[in-house]
Amino acid sequence: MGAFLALGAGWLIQGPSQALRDLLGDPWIILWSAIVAIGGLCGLVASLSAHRDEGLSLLTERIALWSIGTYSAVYVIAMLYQRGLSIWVTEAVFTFFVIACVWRLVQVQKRITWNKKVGRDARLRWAR
Amino acid sequence: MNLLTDVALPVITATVASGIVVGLLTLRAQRRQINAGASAQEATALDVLTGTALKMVQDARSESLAAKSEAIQAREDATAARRRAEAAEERAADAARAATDCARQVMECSAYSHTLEGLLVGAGIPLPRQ
Repeated sequence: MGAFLALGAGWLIQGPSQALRDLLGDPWIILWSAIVAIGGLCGLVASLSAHRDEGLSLLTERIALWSIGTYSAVYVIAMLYQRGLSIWVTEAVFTFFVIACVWRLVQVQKRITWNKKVGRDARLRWAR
Repeated sequence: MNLLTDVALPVITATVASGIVVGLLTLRAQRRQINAGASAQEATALDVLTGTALKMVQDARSESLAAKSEAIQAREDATAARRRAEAAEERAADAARAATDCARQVMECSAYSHTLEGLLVGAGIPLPRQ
């Protein structure tokens, strides 16, 4: 997550690389830089608050997985669309990254849904 | 027209960005719900533990009461048995005393019979044949 935060912040400060600009297009690359930076920041917050605040940890982790996973997916699609399988190793790495993000996102979403359901169904002991 | 950069990428970018914005905006309310659920689970776990401990205490207390009543019953049984033994011992002593009295009376009767026989023999009266 720290790497993604540094990557997105670096793109925002110094501008993305020309190769990435060619891949994702000029107006969107800035927005994707912000998305990656926000995702990395949320991932760090999720890691730091994992043992103290489960709600904050789960929600920020969901945002991080959503942003970084979609960025990786867009990156893979753009690479496949423009360069085919000529850089298949990079494409495979980011594809596995997308799969891992989706896998973890499903777990996080299940946990969030479960906690919300328990919170809705909870009644005060003296009110039963 | 580039399908990726002109159509797909703007749609995906807008979706992802709006998802992040919605997630950040609803973070506080959802966080409260999730933490309420987590607290409810912890409370349920503590409730189960407390209930289990309370049941163990109640079981131990009822077992203690049962053991105490069993001890009382055993003590009462022992007292009754001791009383029965004392009564039997007393009856045995009475029986021995009665047997001694009988033996003494038999001896007295025997001595009296010998005396009578002597008197009969001295008076020249023949003794009856057995």
